[in-house]
Amino acid sequence: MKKSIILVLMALWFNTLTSWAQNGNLNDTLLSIISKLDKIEAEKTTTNKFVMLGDAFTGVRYTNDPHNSKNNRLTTTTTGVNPVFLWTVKDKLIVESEVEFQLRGDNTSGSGFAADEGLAIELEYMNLGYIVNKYLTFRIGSFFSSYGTFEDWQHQRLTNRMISRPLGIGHGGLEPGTSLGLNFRGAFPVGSARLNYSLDVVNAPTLVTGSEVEATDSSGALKGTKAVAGQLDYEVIKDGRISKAIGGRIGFIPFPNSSLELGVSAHHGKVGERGTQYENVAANFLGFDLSYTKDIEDIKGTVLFRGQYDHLAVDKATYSYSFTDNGGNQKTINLAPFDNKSDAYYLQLSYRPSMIKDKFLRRLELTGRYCVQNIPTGTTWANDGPTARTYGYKSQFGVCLNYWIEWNAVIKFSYEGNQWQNYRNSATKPPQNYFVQMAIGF
Amino acid sequence: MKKFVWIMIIIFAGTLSSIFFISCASSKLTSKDGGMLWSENCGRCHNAPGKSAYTSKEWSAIGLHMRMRAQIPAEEADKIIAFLKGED
Repeated sequence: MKKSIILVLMALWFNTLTSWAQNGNLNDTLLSIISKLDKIEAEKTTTNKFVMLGDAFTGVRYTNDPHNSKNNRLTTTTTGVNPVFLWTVKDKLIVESEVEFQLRGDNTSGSGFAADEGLAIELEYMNLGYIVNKYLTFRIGSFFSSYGTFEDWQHQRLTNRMISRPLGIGHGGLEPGTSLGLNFRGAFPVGSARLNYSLDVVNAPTLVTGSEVEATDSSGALKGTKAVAGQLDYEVIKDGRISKAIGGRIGFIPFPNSSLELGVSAHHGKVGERGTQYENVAANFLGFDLSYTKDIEDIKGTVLFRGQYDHLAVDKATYSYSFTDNGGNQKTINLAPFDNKSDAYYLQLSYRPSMIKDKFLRRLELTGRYCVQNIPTGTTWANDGPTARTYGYKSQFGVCLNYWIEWNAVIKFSYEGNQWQNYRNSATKPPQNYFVQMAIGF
Repeated sequence: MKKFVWIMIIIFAGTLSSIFFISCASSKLTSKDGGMLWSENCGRCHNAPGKSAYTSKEWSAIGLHMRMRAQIPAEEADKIIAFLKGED
């Protein structure tokens, strides 16, 4: 009996030992496997990458009206945050998108800001890009169109050395902000120089024909900015009822240091709605752009020179407005056909003393800009309605002092002086604007 | 207007032909390093951010986005991305 008990105890003890040993081995094995898995995880190349970038901005504006000091006012300018979302898959596929959340101020004619009040939420662009090869990228969706370089590369708060857009350039001027369609782009070396290209096939803009008039005053004169027959509306998406537009931009960078770029852009499309008298009206766009950036030791700083010229020609057409006056009478205003050609250009020079020792001065940047927008004569595009048919051109001179707190944070102080031919039927000074804006990129 | 359309067609056909022939030929890599290319390309539009502004993974995505958006040649873009990720 005693022997049996001892044998059983020994067996139990031996079993415990082996189990403990086995568990220990098992633990070691498990730990080893886990360690290897961790290593594999750490070394694994992530094929999906997501980044959120963007900017946020706010500011104030003081408007001085030389005609009537009662119109002088201090207001906030557009305030907003614009996140940009990037997804990449295996470095071949990229989705990029920007959403704008903005509180917009009141109308700031001549400054380039939007006129609507309240919160505006817009999908600025969303497209899917595929890297076909070293020289070709294909995009589909909504993207900045190939009209010069201002709207695509230079209108953002951290790239625009002024606060507003130049007159007539970019979104709200002679160009769309973004377009919906297909884009092919790329770049390649040509000896020590470089060539880049961008070709679009997109939904064409819509011709405004006058039937969109919403309100008139008691005399029947068209109110405000509703009298815009002959302009192109880039915001309306009416696929199926309008044609497609083709065009693009070619850029040439002649120097090996990439300091200078020269570009030419062209677009063509039918802009009248199908099934109407305007269905064969076409629009042609031609643009030239220039950009020069150089660190110059002799002046201890960085010079940035930019310019762009836009020309838009829309085929002649006859426009009319029908409306009901205060007496309930149906009336029609027929406009004589006019030569529907507009152009706009700007020249801008910036200097930043980036090479001097003083920390404060090194962060300052001074910019001067001159811009002009020519409006076709014989149109009703003036605020005064159809009587001001000789509305000519707008010109503007502006200066802006930027203080770069960081590479991605800036405070801007700007003055813009406007000169409009035939403003209120006489060549007098329209309102002058003073701005302060703060912008931060993330 | 017809003349304008023909001019456009000739310009873009010429560009596409050039792209085809050049893409068939072998290309010589620029002798510049990633740092030089970074300062020349990135500073043309905005202040060029430093390496520590974003993580390595973020630089991969941002680099691809900027290559497409700013139309930087592929070899130059790869060198810039490697420089910003600290891999050069």
